[in-house]
Amino acid sequence: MDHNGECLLPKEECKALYQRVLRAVDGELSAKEEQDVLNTIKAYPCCFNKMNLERSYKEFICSRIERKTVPIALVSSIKTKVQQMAAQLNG
Amino acid sequence: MSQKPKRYNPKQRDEIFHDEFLPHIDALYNFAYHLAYNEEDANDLVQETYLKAYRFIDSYDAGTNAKAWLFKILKNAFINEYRKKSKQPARVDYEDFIGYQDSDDRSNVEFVDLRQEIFQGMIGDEVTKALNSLPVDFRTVVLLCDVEGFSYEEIAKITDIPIGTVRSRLHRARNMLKEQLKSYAKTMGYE
Repeated sequence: MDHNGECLLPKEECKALYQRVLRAVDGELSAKEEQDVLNTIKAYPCCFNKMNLERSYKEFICSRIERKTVPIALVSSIKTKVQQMAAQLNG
Repeated sequence: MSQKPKRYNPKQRDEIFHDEFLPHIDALYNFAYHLAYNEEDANDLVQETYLKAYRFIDSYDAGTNAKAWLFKILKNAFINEYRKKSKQPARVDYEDFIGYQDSDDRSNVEFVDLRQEIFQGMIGDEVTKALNSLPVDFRTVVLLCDVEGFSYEEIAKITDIPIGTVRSRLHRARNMLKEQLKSYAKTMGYE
């Protein structure tokens, strides 16, 4: 975490909390663990802000990344080739 | 050498293919496109993935995580075929990466607020370019976690790296991407 003196937590605790913040943002914590993180960061506006920044990053990437539509011809080609393979395997 | 007995009958294989594999074709195509950054190669990668998946369907446990299984096949196909083809494959600066992992001082990591107007003005193509500028190993974890929503454990299995490395690589990749976006915003005169 950017420990620039704004955080009220000791440096090591701040870093450990940040790791938990990242895991919370990525949905890697249980509901209870996530609630614990939320309860903890309420007391530390700097950490709370950073959690919001990490959340906004994920939302930004997810919403902006270019998504390609799979060509219909590709789907047809795969189905045809799989049918041929199935015929060979079954034959 | 004796052949392994077939686990699934033809009807079951057909059901697995249509009900469990095909629904993930859009996600696989997007992943392939962002890895190869080329529609033709993405087509080949996805086709190869489905043909391999069907050929080795007996090693898949029906009703489990088909998406992760297919992504692993695609990732391996990309590594095996397309990196070999490239004269200058995208390389990860592992010295830098290891140095970063071992470093205890991350105070120089700058937080970038993507809610700012300069970033909100960016279009998808610009974000895609920034993502594609990352070394492929870093791009992969961002795609798997932030775009496809895989868990750390699933990413570890797909990429064959330990969970701790997934976490640190993801953290590093996100910081690199934020820096790229910031630089790109500057060059486009957003600042």
